[in-house]
Amino acid sequence: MVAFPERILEHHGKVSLSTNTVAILGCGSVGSLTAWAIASAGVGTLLLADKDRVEVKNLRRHVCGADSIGERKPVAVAHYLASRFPTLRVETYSFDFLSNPETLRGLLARCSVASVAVDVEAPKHLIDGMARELNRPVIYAGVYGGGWAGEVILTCADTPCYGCTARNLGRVGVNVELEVGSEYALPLNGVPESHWPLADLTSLMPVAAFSARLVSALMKSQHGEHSELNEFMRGGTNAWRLLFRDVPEWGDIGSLIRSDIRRDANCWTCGKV
Amino acid sequence: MLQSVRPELARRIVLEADAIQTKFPNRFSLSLNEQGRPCWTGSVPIEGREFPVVLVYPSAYPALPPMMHTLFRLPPNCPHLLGRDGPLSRLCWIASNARGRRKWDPQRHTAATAMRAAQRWGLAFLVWQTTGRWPVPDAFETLT
Repeated sequence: MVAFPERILEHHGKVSLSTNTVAILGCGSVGSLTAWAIASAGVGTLLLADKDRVEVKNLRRHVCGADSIGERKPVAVAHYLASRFPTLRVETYSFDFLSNPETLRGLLARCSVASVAVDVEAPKHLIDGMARELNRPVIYAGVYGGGWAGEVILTCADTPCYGCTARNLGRVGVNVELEVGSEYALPLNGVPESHWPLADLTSLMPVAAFSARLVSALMKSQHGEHSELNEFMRGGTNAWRLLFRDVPEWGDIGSLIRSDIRRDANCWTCGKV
Repeated sequence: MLQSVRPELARRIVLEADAIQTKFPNRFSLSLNEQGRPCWTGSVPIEGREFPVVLVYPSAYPALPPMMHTLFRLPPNCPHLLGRDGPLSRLCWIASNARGRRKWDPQRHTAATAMRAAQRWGLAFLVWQTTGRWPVPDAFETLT
């Protein structure tokens, strides 16, 4: 007989997140879905940031509809959220992260947790360095091209940096050309994402939900309720893969893989300091 | 001196200074350029000659690699340049479509890595002047 978990979970205190601020850095498909999920968890303030506008090609995978075409993505997502969460405070910022690091740093300084969903690697390395200095936890979420798996990474002062984590997951460095025009998809082992079909909501939504759940657990931990975050980080992991297909040597469809991440002792971001 | 520099960038530069001093002892000095960006100014040895180099940290460093310039007077048709600004020529030293270990890696590369690439760029320039052919796809190759 299966025991239902209410008896266990009733001991976990309920935590209000209304005083928390979350920065959503990247308001594309994963970012907009994550913002929606975090808003529904009861967070008080969202800081939405992205440099792009909503285009027709985005509609298939984005929370916003045709009436948002041409709008700045943060503004469009803010309108979407305002209609569903009237007490939610939302601020929007439209800028390029790499060109305006000071603005980016200002957002990180104001938030409890940052959720990053951008389609290029360079801003993640920049955010990681800033967040470590500011002692802010950051969640990076993405879906591999084709949508056969997703990836969620947590970095904070105690974990390996984003670069070390990504390296352990098979991704090294940044493309200087900034992968202009790429759709959201993580390149894996140097395979350009353009070789893969676009992921759709069947994989984007679970990854965004997992990411938002982790953001929620981090905020609860900041309020003294650590049990959910401890469950996420059991075994000391800070990276998770969700499989939407059977992947040889990884696991079966539906698996959640806790990745064993090792810090590089010679890393200039987290190993030498 | 580094008041306009982000704290995490300032910390990184301090760490990199040791690497630069180890690989190019007493060859480079740190200052702020006209835009207020930290930069290393000095020279690297190439075949017994000095190749003057200015490495500028972009505002998004280390997410993006340093910008490499030289004060050396390069001929108008010199390849692998990204532009000229007065006496400075900006060198193209890392391929934009680089893959694998040739990509810029903030965890493993520093301004010292770029200085070694400057040496390689200078050598490639000498070969080009002699043979008319640029010998490597980019100066970053095989350096990692």
